[in-house]
Amino acid sequence: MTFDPDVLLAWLADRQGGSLASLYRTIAWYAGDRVDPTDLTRARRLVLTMNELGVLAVDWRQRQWEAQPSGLATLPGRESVALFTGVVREAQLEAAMGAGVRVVVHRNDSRGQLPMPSTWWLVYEDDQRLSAAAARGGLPLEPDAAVRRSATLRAVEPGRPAEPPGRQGPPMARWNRRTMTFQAADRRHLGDGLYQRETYGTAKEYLLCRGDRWFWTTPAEGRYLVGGETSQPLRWEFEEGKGDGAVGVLSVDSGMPLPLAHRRIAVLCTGLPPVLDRTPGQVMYDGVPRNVADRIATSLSSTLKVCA
Amino acid sequence: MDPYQWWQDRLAEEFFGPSAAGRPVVLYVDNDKAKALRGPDGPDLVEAVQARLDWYHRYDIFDGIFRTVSAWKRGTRVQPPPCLPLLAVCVLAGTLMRREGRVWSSNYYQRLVECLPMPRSTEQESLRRLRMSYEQIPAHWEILGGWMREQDGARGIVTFPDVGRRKGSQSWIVLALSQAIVRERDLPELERFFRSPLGRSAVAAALAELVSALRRWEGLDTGRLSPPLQEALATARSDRDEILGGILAAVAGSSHRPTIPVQVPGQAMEAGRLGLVLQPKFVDADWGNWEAGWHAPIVDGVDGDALTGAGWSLTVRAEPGLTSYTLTGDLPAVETALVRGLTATGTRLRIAQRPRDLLVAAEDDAAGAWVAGDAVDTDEPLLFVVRDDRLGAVVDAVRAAVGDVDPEQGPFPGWHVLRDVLFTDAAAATAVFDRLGIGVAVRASPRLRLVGGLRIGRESGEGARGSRYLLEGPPDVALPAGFDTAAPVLLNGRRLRPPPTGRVIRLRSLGLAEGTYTVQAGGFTRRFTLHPPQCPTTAGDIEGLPAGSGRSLTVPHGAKVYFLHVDGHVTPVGEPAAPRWWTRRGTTLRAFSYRVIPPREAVWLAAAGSSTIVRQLRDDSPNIGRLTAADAQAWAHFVLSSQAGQPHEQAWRRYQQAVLNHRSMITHEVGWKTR
Repeated sequence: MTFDPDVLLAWLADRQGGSLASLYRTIAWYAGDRVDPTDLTRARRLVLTMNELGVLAVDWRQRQWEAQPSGLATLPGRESVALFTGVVREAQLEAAMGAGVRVVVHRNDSRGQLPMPSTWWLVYEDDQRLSAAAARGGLPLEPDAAVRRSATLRAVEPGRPAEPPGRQGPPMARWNRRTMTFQAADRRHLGDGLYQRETYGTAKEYLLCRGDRWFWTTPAEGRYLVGGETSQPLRWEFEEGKGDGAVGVLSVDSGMPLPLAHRRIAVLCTGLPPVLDRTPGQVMYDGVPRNVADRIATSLSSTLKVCA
Repeated sequence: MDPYQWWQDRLAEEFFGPSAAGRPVVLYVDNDKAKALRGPDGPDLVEAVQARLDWYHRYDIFDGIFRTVSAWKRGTRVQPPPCLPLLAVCVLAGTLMRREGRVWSSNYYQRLVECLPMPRSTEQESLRRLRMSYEQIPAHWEILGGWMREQDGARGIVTFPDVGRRKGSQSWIVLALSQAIVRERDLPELERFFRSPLGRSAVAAALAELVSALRRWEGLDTGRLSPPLQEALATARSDRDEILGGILAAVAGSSHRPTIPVQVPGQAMEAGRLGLVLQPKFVDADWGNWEAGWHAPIVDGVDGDALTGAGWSLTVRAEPGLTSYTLTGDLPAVETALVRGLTATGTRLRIAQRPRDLLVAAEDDAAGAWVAGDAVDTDEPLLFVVRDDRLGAVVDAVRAAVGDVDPEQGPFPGWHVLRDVLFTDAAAATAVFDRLGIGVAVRASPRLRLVGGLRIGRESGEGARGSRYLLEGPPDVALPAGFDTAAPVLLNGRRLRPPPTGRVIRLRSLGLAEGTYTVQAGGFTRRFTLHPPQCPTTAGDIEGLPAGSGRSLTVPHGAKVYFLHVDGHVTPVGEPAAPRWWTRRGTTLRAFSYRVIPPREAVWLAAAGSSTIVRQLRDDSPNIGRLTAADAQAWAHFVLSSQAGQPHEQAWRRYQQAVLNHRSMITHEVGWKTR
């Protein structure tokens, strides 16, 4: 039996939540004919992707995951297409089918990794048909989800206050804005900046130093809070449409990844995972409206380079 | 604080504190133990000792340490003699030898030199000076043993051989090595032996005979012994048996029989009190929100008792049919007890437990929880509960033995858990436990297991807890170790094909249907059930698109679409091209319709395709002005279109008539009619 990510999705929907350790092991077992079941690397990567796609939410501190409720969100742009969000079940897809609507599936490219869950869309004739399909499938409707959610993005800020690191303890590394890498730091001389601290095994935690105050942060938010010396962390390239309806490709420097909330909004524009272009080191999100890209950049206190 | 004194205090607290009362003390210090004792902020043990050595002393490089003994002897002697760090390094060197499998080799000194090299000198010179000075070391052991005996067992019971009986340089090192032979985890099994008829008679015999009797004892489960003791018992050697016999005699002859972790029901321990063990138990109440509590196995012959500790009290009561006590009272918090240790006394029972920073718990069906007892089985999932300062070492050791593990937040702040750690090899598990200093025995208990699977539902529905699986994800069957793979393995009475390699039969490819399944192999039986995905509970009322969700309207692809204005002017709507990402990403998307946003001044949206669609955007009377040819051409699609029955029927007819009456439209129609 091959690894079917949509069966995994059905299992996630049934299970609803649990410990990350169990999830990793279950995925590794299910992919047993593809990977060594004791190697959790690919399972971890798949969980990261599902977290980004909004299929599940991960509490990294508590090491727990939770399935995200299913729904229907209309896509930006002019075409009448809605995206099935969260852990949608097969029964819901079947129930949503009917007159004036069509369900379209897209098998996402796994690019050598474990296959990602499929993207499911609902193509509809008009709003009444869309509403009826949502009602049949028991799916809450969210019009223009990406645009609406982007409007609620707040400016990234340091997290809760943290204890200053002591002179002794696990190794720490400081974010070098120029090289865009973390480099070993001397605990006796910790100045302003973003720090990575090893906790155990492969786990790491991130701290931000401002003046003599320390805060918890995430690796992505921390990088934007201290800034990077990349010439264009965010770039938007026009593809079609006019005014607010113009959509294009949002490219992000892979050294300055978007925080999770921002990534989820960018993904919500199509339902497809981003594409990594390794040569220039860019992560590209398709179908992103100009105004959504603007709000993402604004909340990150970053500039958006617009290419017509 | 001086690093040597820091270590003196640390070792005294760890090995000779109040919790050592009545227990044989083995000053076992290997690298892991030294690291654990050091913690994140402590000095290095070896460096602390090195700093006290006088390498240029004519006879005794340990002289500086020995001279502090005089002051100690003149004092209160409440604390152990000031030689503990030095003796600990001597034991540490012995553990390094053991790792090379040359326990009895004379190159013990070689390992000691590696620990304590003479600065700016050759290895040969270091070795010469160490060997020469080492004859002072037995004196330190003697002083320590004498002090322990003075305390009458209150600070532990001596387990190293009597110095007076040891003669010659070859025997000096046995004192240190003796501390690496018997470990604390051996004590429960030794206690069983001493209470057996053979053991009772052997303790009165010669030392070598005591060891021989232990080897002969039929009740011995060597799997529960530490590897050094297993090794020592494997082959008889008179010199080593003499030492081992001395240690065994010390343990057996103690006036204080061990309380922890030994649990021998029905035997008097101290002043007629029996040992009660409070075992921490853990329940994963709600995805990682651990609840910690106590589990207390019943002590034979004791139906109940009331115990009092420092600031807490406990009443235990044995209920019919239960194997553990019902506990009431003001029990101590598990976290506090793990940090500080636990002592309490009742009329018939007594509790004395040491602080702990690492627990291994197994699922206990009767307790309905993970219980940290004194023995675990192979082939059963284990829960490691670890204080953060030991987490790195524990993760490394477990990962090396069973593969990747992922620590989760533990039951207390500053603690983590490793969930579902499964050892299938008792020797491998014992090695890990030994390395980490876990005083828990591992029993080889191969059994038929169900592994993997897409397990669903936590407890409800058909099938026992934990044995329900998604239809597409039945578990694998793992055959017990040593199982003859040619023997039949039955699934609901049907013989399964044996695995081509290994011991795992995969059921995923069998296309099993929904239902209950029984697997039988040898004398083992396991059951599980398969279920289709759960149907979603239909959300109550799903609202349509909220009002004001957008001013957009949908119109079908392929139709001619226009906005019509109050003056008859027409704005054609361009059909959008399919977004580029649809083809770039290889989707099969093809939309029925697209969305348009009407201009504020438009009165009507009209679309002419396979059918005609007319929607009123606002209510405004017609005031037709000049119509262009393009306007007239667009109106031509709609002037005869009926909207009968629609709310906007009258308004639409007024527009139709106004347009039809317009001169330019008439002209256009004439032209159309003529054509």
